[in-house]
Amino acid sequence: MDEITLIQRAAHGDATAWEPLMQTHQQAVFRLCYLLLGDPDDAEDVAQETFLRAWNHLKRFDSIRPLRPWLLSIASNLASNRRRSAGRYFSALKRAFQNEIPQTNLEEKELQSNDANELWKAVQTLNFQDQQIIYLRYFMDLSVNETADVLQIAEGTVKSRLNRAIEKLRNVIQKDFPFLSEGHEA
Amino acid sequence: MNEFEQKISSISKGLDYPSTPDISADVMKKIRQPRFIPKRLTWSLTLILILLISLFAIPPVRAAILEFLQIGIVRIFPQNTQPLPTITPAPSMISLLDSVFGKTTLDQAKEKVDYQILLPQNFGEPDYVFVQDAEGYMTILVWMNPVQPQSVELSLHFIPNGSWAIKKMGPRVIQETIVNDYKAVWAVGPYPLILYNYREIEFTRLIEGNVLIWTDGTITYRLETNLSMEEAVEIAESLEPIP
Repeated sequence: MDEITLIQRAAHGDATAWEPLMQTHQQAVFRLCYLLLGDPDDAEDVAQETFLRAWNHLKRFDSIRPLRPWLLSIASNLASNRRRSAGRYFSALKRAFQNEIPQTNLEEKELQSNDANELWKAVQTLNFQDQQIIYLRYFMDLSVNETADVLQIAEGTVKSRLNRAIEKLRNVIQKDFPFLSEGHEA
Repeated sequence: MNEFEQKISSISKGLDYPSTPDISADVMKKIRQPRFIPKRLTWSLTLILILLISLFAIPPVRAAILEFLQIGIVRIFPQNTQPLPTITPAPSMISLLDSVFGKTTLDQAKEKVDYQILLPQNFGEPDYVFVQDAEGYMTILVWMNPVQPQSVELSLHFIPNGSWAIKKMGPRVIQETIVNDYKAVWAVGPYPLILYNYREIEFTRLIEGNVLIWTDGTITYRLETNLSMEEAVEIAESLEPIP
């Protein structure tokens, strides 16, 4: 059954039609959440919440439009909320432990060994909006048009935001991750 | 894509993602799970409903019962005692919210009010915070809808005792419920909300939705959402102080 038919059936309350749609898109949604949140448990929670919210709002969704950008848009907004919430939690921890921040664990240190993780660390130094657009366009290979759909902005705005974000990333890499710009690859 | 962008794209493909959990299975469980309503509450609601239906059938009783219903500082007039103006939320609430009086930050609001500001679990910090002086600082928190970022998903008012009374005119349905053992009222719109002291002041509602109102004795809480009553009660019961 094609995606449009499944969406229409799901919008009429058929949960069995929603299940294959979730299976098709869960990896993309989970990965975007993971990129934005950096924690697999948080990513799973937000991905679940994304599909629940989408299910509850399916009646208002135009089934002719592709589902993935809409799901990624919900995921991205929920991840943004979760980050603010997490930020609040970390501020409290900071106050409680007088600026003692938990050290990175061994697993994370191991992950830092390859270029992709170093690149991810470089992107994480940017603001949320810049991270979002870089993840969608380069990490998840969305076209400019799809990125515009996810962020609900015009394609021209995507291009200008991308240019600014890429310029900032280039500066970060040159300053703190020079080996990434020197052609070294793991 | 220029050379740098191509390189970023190429390097990013080597990222080691955790394996994707079976999210669909968990979501399906939640979708199929019937909403839990305590049996005692179901019976209470049924009894209230039966009682109200029978009382409504007798005009003099109806007039006496429906004069008003008071929860904390909020007084609800279920009957239309005056012509109701039509208030429709703007398609984009953002421009309206930007012009609402008393816009502030959560930290500043915490400093300003002498009661605890509570936040619901899983919503993060609100997108908008307002503190308005209504002879007692009233706090309003607003969360935009992640699915439709131009519209409001939830608003939560904290109204301290001694503030201006709030009068609600003509909600279509009123149902009693419980929030953390406190009596609560669920009012289904549409209706305008009017704040008043000595003079009447119109107050635009934020959501084309419904309202849950309860009080803990000192603060009256007003949660406005287009979610169901059960979901609104769940949100109300998840409120916790800001760390």
